[in-house]
Amino acid sequence: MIDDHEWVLARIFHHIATATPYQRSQYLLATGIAILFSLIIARGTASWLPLHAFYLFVLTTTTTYFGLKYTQYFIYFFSITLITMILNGAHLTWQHEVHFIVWGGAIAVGLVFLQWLLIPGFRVRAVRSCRIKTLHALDGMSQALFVCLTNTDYKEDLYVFERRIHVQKTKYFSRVYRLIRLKNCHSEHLPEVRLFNLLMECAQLRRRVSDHTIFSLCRNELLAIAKAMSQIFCNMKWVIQQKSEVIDTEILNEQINQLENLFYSVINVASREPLAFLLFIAGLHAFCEEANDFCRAL
Amino acid sequence: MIFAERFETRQVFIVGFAVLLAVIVNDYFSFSHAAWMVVGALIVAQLARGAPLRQSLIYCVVMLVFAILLPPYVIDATRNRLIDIGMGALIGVLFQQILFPMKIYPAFRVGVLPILRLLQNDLQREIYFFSHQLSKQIYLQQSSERMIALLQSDSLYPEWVYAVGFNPGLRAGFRFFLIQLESIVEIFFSLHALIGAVSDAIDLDVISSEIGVVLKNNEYLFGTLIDHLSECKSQKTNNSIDLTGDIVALENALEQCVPVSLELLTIAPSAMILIAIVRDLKDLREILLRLIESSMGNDAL
Repeated sequence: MIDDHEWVLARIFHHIATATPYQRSQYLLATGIAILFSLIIARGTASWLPLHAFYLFVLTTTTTYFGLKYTQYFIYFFSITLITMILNGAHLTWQHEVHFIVWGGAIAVGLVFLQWLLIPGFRVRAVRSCRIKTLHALDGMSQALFVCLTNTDYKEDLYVFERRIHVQKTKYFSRVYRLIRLKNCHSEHLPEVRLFNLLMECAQLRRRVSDHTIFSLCRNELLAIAKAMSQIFCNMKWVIQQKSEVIDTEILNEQINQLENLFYSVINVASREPLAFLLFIAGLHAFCEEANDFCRAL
Repeated sequence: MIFAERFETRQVFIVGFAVLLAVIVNDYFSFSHAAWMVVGALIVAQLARGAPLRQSLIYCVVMLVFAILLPPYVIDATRNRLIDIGMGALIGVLFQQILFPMKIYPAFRVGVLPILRLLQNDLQREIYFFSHQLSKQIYLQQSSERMIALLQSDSLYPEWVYAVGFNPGLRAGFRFFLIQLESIVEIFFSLHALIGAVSDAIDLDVISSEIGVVLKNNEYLFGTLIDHLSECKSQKTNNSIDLTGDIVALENALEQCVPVSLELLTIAPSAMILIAIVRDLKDLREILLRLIESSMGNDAL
C-alpha cells in the first residue's frame, strides 16, 4: 500500500510553508532537547565501542524510520542524528556542547520570529516572486509544446521532446503549489491554474494528429502564435511587477485568426483530423480570453 | 531480501548499517579523529529511491567543499577530513547502491501507482459531477489541488527512467509507460479546463448518462491497471463490460445535439465544449487500453 506520506520533500516543503512561527519554534525546541539527550547517551556509551556503535545504529534507524513515517518532520529527525554525530566526534567539552545547542536553537528561534515580524512585506514579495516564476514556467511549457508541433523530428525523438515538456510541467507544479500555499486560496481562483489547464487543452493536438507533416502547412502561423504567447506571459509579469496595467492580446488574436483562415482554406481539406485543429483553435481562443481577464483576476 | 521490499524498511536498514560500519571503521582508521566519516556515510545513505550513482557523487562533492571551507585552514587537517569524508561516502554508496540496490520494477511501480490512484479518484469525482452529485466548484477545487499537490514533487516520480545510463534494454518500455501516463494527466487537466468552461447555457444532461457509462468503464480500466501493477491477486474481472459500445453510444448522443458542419461549430462554443469533452474521454480510453495492453504483455511491469 502506497501512502501519500511517502512524498518526503513535498511534505517537508508543505510543512515549512504552512507551519506557524510558534509551531516551528516548538519543533526546534523539541529537537534541541532530543539532541541533548541523544548526546548524553552517546557520551555515556563512548567508552565501549560495541555499545557505542549499537547505540548510534539504534538512533539512526529510529530517526530515519520516524522521519520517513512522519515526513513533514523529517528535517528535525535528521538534524537529531546529524548534530549528535558531529558533536559526538568533535571532542568538545560538555560546556561547549551545551552552548552550541542552546545558542544554535536561540538563533534559529530568533530567525523564525524575525520572519514572522516581517511577514506583511515578506508575504507580498514572496507571492509576487512566486507568480512571476509560475508564469515563467508556463511560458517555458507553451514554448516546449509549440516546438513539438513545429519541429519535424518530434515523432523520431518523441522521448526527448516529451521529457522537455515534463520538466516544464514539474517546474510549474512546484511553483503553483507554493503559490497556492502562500496565497492560501483555492487553485481554481488562480488565473495561472486556468491558463495551464487551457494550455493542456491545446496540447492535445500533438497526439490527435496522426501525420505531423501537416504542421508544415501552418508552421509560420504556429511559430507566430508561440511568439505572441510568450509576449503575453511577459506582459503578465510586467503587470505583476506593476510596470504595466494592461495585457495586449491583440497580436495573439490576430495570429489565431490567421490560423483559423488557413484552417478553412487548406488544413480542413488536407488534414485527416480537421476536428482536432478546430478544438485547438477553440482552446487558443479560450486562452486569449483568460489572458484578457488576467488583470481582473489578480 | 524480504525487508528490502518496502522502501521505508529498506532505507532504515541502509542508513543504520552504513552508520554502524562507519562508526566502527572511524574508530580504527580515522585520519581526522572526528566524526567526518560517520557524517559522510549518513548523508550519502540518505538518497531518494532510484537515485543513480551520480547523485551520491554530488552529495559527496558538496561535503568535500564544505570540509575545505571549514576552519582550521591547515593542509593536513583538511586532507584528513577529505579522506574521512571520502571513506564515509564510500560506505554510504556501498550500502545504498551495491548491498541494497534498488529493484527497478518495484521502484517503478511505487513511482507510478500514487499517480494512477489519484487519477482514478479524480475520475470518481467526475462521475459525481456529471451525475449532479458534486458541484462544479467543489469538483474543480478538490481535483486540481490534489493533482497539483501530488505532481509538484518529483521525489517519487521515476525520473531515473530518463537517466543516460539507464538499462537500454528496459528503457523503451518504461519510457513508453511514463509518456502515456503523462498524456493521461494532461487529459485530466484539459477536462478541468473544459468543465470549468461549462456554464448554465450548456445542456450537459443530453449526454451526461452516456458520459457516466464511459467514465465508469474508464474507472474500471484504471482499477485493472492498478491491480496489475500492485500485484493485487484479487483482480476483478468483468467480462460483461462493453468497451466500444459505450463510446459509440456517446458519439451518437453527441451527434444529435451538436451541428455536423465544422463551419457551424465555430459559432456554437457550447457545442465545441461538449465535443472537446467527448474527444478527451475517447483519447483517455484509447491510452488506457494501450497502457493495459503494454503492461499486461510485459511481465516486468
